[in-house]
Amino acid sequence: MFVYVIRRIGLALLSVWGVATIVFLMSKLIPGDPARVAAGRFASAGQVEQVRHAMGLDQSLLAQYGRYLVDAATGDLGSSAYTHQGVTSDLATALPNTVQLVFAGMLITVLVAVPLGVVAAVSQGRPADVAARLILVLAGGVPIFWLAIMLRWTLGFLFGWFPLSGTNGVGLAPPDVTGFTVLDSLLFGNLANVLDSFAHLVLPAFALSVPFIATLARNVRSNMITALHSDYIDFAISKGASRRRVVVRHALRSALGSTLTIFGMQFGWMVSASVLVEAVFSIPGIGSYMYKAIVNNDTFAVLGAVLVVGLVFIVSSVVVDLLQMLLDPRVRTDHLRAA
Amino acid sequence: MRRATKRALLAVLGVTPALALSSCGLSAPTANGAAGTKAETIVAAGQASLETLDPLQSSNADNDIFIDPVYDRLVGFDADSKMIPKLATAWEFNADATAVTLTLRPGVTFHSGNPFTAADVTYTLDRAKRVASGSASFIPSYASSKVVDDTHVTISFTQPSVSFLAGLSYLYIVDAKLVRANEGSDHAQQWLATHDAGSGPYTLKGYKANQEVSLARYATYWGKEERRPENLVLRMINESSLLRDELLTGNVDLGWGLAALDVKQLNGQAGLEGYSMPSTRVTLGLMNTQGEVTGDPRVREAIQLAYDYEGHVKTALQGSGEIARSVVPRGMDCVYEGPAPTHDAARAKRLLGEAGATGKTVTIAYDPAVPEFKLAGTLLENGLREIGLTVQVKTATFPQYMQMISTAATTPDIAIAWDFAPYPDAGAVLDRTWNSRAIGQTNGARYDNKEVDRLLKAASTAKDPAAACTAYESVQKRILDDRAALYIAWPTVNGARNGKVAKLPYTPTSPTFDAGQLMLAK
Repeated sequence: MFVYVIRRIGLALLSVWGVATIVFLMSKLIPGDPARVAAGRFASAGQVEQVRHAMGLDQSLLAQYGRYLVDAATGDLGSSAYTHQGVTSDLATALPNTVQLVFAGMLITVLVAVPLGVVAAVSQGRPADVAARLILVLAGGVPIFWLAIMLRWTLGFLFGWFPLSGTNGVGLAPPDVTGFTVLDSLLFGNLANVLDSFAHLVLPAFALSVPFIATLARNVRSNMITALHSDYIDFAISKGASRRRVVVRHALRSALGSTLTIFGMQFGWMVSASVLVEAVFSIPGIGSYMYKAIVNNDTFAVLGAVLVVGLVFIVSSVVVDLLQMLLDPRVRTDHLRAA
Repeated sequence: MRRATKRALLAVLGVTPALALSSCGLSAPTANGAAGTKAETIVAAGQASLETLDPLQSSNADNDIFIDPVYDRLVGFDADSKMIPKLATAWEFNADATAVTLTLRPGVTFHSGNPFTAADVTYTLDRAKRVASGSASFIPSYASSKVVDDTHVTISFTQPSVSFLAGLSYLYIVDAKLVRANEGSDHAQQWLATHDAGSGPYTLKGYKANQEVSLARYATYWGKEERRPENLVLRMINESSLLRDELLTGNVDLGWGLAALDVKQLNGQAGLEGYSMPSTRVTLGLMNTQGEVTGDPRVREAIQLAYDYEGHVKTALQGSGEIARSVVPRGMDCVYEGPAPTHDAARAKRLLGEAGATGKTVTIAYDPAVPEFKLAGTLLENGLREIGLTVQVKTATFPQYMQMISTAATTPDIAIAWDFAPYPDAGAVLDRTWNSRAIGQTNGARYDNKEVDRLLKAASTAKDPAAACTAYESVQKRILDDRAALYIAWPTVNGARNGKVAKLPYTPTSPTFDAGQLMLAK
């Protein structure tokens, strides 16, 4: 098992290096001069050259690549040509907003999708199943951007139940400790801050989760139907197990194996999709940071942001693999045999 | 009844902090921002970037609105574009205009409590030179500076330059003692990104990158004004419809950068009043004067005649602007106004025929992320097709455009772009965009006119402002005569404010407005 874990982590590191290299090469293909961006639109030729030298952009491509890899390995992702700050610190500011939003979105997804999928499977072919499937089709087809605007307009603007934008109300931002506003509010220990941070998260997280609920619930439903028609379920029923026990302990447990894989992938997809929600609710997350970096040809910022998003995908994939191995004896046996 | 139901529902949901505060009897905390009485707080929001508070990057990072209230400049400009004293109260050039001696305002203290002296000016100037980005580009001829005494400093230039003083209007003075202590290895760029080292009318209370700056009135500011609110919150909201809704719900007192349509909708609603101010930019169609097709002045004139200027103001600007009559932004000194450009397709076709350019291909470039450019691109494309030119569109972000104009082969025939005036000095704008020295850098028209170069040089060293002005006007006339650009529009800056906020003064050194000048109406 230890060998498998080491091998899996090694593969993940190799993937990270691959992503870093591809992104570095691609960033060099983007037209535009990063030194000009850093020096400013009004800068003279001399000033642009001075900045180019300071940024190390006058070195050979190989030297730049080597320096980038060495620095990245020590957590230094270079300086942004636009913000003139370290990309690592820029990302440390932007990433918590996105991660918090994605975590909240995933929580809503699980809380809604799993019960919905189970109910639909258990009531297969009956009105509850039809209703659930109809809801899932609608949820799966609705564009996140549109839904976010509608939620903001109705629940935020017309009814005034939720804040319209940002991560905190005026004067209610907690002291910045972790960057996660809800967590920081809890640490600050003021209920007003906690409620404010939470209220600012509800609509964006819900808007983000809806299409993912559809995917996950459908997956749970189909896996549950397969499980409920298995021999071991018939055996459990014949042994007199209660309906609740059969569904929750036997069928759901078995069905959640592949659902976990989808769920892990959804984490990465949600990070990508969050850019739309962040734009609608004016949340300064990694999506808006990356967009601005690309538009401004901010090479190091693009590299850093893509690398971090790539890392999120890779880490979530590793975690899912390990979790599956822990939870499913069949997967564990397969992996150990291969190792 | 309806209100009672709504409140009951909110209580059940328990998610609205305002209600939670009132029902639980909690007090709003002051953890990271302004939380004083609402009547003493102005919340302003709009389109901006808030990635750094380093005042040196204010021109580069579109964050002036957040910097203005915290820092002071040496000199400024009033609404009539006349230079006015700020931290420097008087100035005197030497005989050959290679140095200027500033007399500094006494009794000014930074927010840290450190007194403002000549050493702060020299440190700020030297830091700009070392970093070589942002506002450093406005003082390219800075050589060195010398402290004469606490209230006098002499600044030397690399070449005679009377216009140097105008460039200083974009340099925010930092507290040298404080910044030096936090210099690190990056000239304090990282530290200044999130810290206050200024002497302006507000001190920094809270900062959330890309979201919000909270400021508190500086009690001992030299230009004290009682109508300044005790707290000022500046928020970044880049989507116009969201900003409109925030204004209507009363969460925001003043919104800037609104779409003209939203301003029209807001006017008169919820006690809001729309406003429109001159902008510091002009929309141009820079024509490649060395291009294979556009190198012929007759073709350039035909292109000018093919454009629908009125359509631009109506559709691309939704009425918030007017047809330009110059290649520099409006409201500056020394603007030469030519005749208003007109649309005449028949004459354009004739000129094109005379030049033998009918059916030839021209490339147009613009940034599609800017709605005005996107619509202008469509108008231009239609106009050029109408007169018999084939059009090839190239979309490009600003960095990509800069890359395009770096070589003759890649420079587009026509580029739709704004020309900015960070401060109302026609010389700076003209020198950057039309001096042949800037070909391959910022001269997008590849405009090469030796007489224009000579006039620009003469104006920059003229000690007599009237003589400099005459030279600048002459330069503009030559550019218009050479038909080097479509001078399209002077856009305005739009916004809305509620009754709490006093009317905004126009400040030509602020792209939106000077937030330090925001006052309570009562």
